[in-house]
Amino acid sequence: MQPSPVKSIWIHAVHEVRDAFRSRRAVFLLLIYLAGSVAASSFFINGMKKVEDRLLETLKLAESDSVGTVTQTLWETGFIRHMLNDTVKNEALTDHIVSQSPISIFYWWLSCTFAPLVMMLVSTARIAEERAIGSARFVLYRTSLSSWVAGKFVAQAALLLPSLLLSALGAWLVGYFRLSFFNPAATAMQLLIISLKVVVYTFSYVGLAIGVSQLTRSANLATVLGFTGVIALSITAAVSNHFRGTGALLNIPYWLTPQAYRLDLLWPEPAHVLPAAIMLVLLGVLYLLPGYYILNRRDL
Amino acid sequence: MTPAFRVDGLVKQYRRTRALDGLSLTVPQGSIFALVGSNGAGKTTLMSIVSGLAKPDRGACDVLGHGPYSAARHAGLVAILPQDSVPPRHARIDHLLHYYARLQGLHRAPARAAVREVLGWVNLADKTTARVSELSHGMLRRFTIAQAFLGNPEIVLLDEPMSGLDPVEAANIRNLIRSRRGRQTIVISSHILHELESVCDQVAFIEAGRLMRQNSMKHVTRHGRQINMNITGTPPLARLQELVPEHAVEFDAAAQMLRIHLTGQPTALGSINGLIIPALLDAGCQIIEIVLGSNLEHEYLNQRQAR
Repeated sequence: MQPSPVKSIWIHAVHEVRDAFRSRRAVFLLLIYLAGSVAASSFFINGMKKVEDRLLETLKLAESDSVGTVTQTLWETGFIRHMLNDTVKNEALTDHIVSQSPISIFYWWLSCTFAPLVMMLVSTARIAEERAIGSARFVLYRTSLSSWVAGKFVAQAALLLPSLLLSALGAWLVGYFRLSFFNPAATAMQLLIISLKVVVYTFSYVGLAIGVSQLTRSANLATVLGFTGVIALSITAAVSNHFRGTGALLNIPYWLTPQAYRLDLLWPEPAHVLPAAIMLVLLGVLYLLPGYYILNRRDL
Repeated sequence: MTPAFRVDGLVKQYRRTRALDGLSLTVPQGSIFALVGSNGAGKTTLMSIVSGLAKPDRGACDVLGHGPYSAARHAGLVAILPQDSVPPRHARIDHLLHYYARLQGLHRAPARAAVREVLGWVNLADKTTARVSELSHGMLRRFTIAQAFLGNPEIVLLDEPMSGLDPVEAANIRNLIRSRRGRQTIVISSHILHELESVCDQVAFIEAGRLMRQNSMKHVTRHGRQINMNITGTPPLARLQELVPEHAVEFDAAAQMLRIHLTGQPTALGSINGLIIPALLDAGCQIIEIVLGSNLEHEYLNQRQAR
């Protein structure tokens, strides 16, 4: 008896995750996230230290070996709060953001910016290369194309979680060893929650990666298409955000980009986070569908 | 009895090449079916369409009486050894086969048993934990044959299964195919015609995407309807024809082959030999070999020339 579609998706996803570890793709992915997070966090703290030193020098105060104390103090000033409020345009959200440690907010920016790019680097080749060597043909007479593609999507999304948790650990370790003003428990919790939110945010990009992977048999071309897609989404988000409010139709392109929901994920309340999460998952499916439609009409 | 599959007026175009041009063909259930044709004749395309890996532009395809291939209806019932396809090089062969077996609906323990069984059939039991990259070309071919038999699908489509196999393994695969006769429908596409002749009971000649001829292997190779004698010297044709007037006697001087076409009433082979052989010996001819029937290669080449 044939497995149900859900069971088939599960079988594909489990195989894909195991295969990622056996082929060392997953190890490569985890290392990229860890190394990227450690390097970027160190770079951030170095930059922060330089700014703090310049500030102390300007104010004619004694230099300090402690890193982060001045930043933390500035972070909590009314000036910074005012600037942030101008950006996010919401007092409650501003309060929540300034309650986070600077390294957590930096990690949020870092992972939201780079996780989609790493996703394009790693995941866009998944279907393309299996079609190129023909290994997909051993699978696709045993299962439906839709469950195979969905299995790939689920597996790539599942690989995100350990990757982002590991990168959060990297940021936490750098903060722990280098920042003087550092609350280990609170920051760990903040980084954990941010990691989970970034996983949700990156769902849409997983859909994009798997979507473009279905368009071609060339893994390299799929990767190029993936990066092009990320850039196109960023430009669309920036341009449509600029013109947002000038007409209802002009809002639509903005709401079709993941960037439209990024800020909503920062909220602590599920009432803000859940709708954004649902929209991001739906966007992932939306980005995946054109590729599926095209592949479904082609020979395998 | 429902045929294993039936295609009718199948057309498939790849850019400027018409791979199938109205192909109609019926493959009986339980048969071992040979597909014979030149490169580009449409054999691989036909197999791809039957297994759902390609879509026809026009025409009908009915697999096991349930319409054209669909994963919901046919997954696990149809299997293919696809041409020019390689499994992921880093993967272990038992992991891959287990994954395939699970997709066919086997639970974990039966899947493991099925994997062991098919690897044993192709003499790869000692390579269970090997990675694909560690297999030689011949071993890889045997692995891909094993995956096609996994879970006992009703239809097994083998595209060039003997390619790259050494003589011992080729004989083993031939025996494997013979052992499945009546239990599964096996369709084999190959250019090694004497191998097809030795294992298949049905044959179809396909050229330029059309069916040229389809019949039982015995009928096509004139098994029981022709005697071939490879001889030296020149046979007394008129005398021989007088001895067996109900049959047609001809001599191919270039091949030194005397052919007796059994066209009339069925005659016991021994009685024909009893008449022909003494006459040949009296005429000073020596008999090198006597073969009953034609062979597939000869019939195929004749068929092509006749087009």
